[in-house]
Amino acid sequence: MNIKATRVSIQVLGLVLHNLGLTFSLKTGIVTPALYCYACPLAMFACPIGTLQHFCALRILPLYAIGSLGFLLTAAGRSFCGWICPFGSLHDALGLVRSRWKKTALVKLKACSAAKFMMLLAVLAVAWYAADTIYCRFCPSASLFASIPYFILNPTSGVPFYFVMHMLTLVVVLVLALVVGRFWCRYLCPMGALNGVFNRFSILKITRSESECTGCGSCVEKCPMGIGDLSAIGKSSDCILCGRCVEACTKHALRFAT
Amino acid sequence: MQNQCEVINPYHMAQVGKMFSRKPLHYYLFRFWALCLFLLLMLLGLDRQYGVVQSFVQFLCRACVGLDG
Repeated sequence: MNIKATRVSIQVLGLVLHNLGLTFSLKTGIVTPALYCYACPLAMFACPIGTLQHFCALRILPLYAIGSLGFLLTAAGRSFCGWICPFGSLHDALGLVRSRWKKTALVKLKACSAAKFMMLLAVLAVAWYAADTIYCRFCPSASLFASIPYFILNPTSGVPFYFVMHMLTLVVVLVLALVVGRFWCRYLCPMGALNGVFNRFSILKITRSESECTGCGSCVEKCPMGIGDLSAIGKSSDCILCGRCVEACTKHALRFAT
Repeated sequence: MQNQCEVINPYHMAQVGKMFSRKPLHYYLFRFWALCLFLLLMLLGLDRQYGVVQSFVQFLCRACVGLDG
């Protein structure tokens, strides 16, 4: 099985696994490094950003969340964004739509780590200051996986204010994702920022053999995160270890390594 | 014998070999200790929430020497 088929299979499996809390009894509370709302009626795992905000609001050190996130991210780095995260998978699906619409991305922008880190710090700082999970009310992933299912399951006479806010953020993010590949993951995802920190220390990584690399640039051309520098592949906090560059390299200079 | 050699693709074997690239010992030790630290944090978190470590120690004490608590 090639990398693309494996990745798509794991993404589907990730989506199924995240939705196994079908009966409200399978809510495990396990924190996985993927942006998936724990308020979703089907959610099996806990959203790390929601959990960290919750503990920030309570002013308690989230030992379990830090431990489980650190363990998983030390093992596999930001590959969770590229292989498991349901919201990232949705971005990949939108990328397919975009590629059929036009062969290349309409807007070619470079990845920007700083914005994500600022977003993460802001999310946690606001949760600390306001003693509430404020970001969850605007999170586009929560809009899709929690707000819409709840609205369908519990139709009210009016439309709640936060439902409108959720829909607005979701529409804006999805439209931008149609124009810029993996827009949310590149620029704003606080989970991606946290995962990206571990890219340098993770056991799984992508390595480039300088002796075999001809510098043709086919890898950076295929990168969904807009990494433009050959030396940053597999090392940058923007790299989601999706393996598209490994597939694209005809000289086999790039490979997954430990 | 020849068939077996044909089945094992030398390119794939080389890829598997390269995946476990040789790195200095401290590279792996650092990651090993990081994993251990995060596992410890997980356990501490679980202990704070559910008292799992305390329950486990009590279970061990009861099982080994018949002590309670």
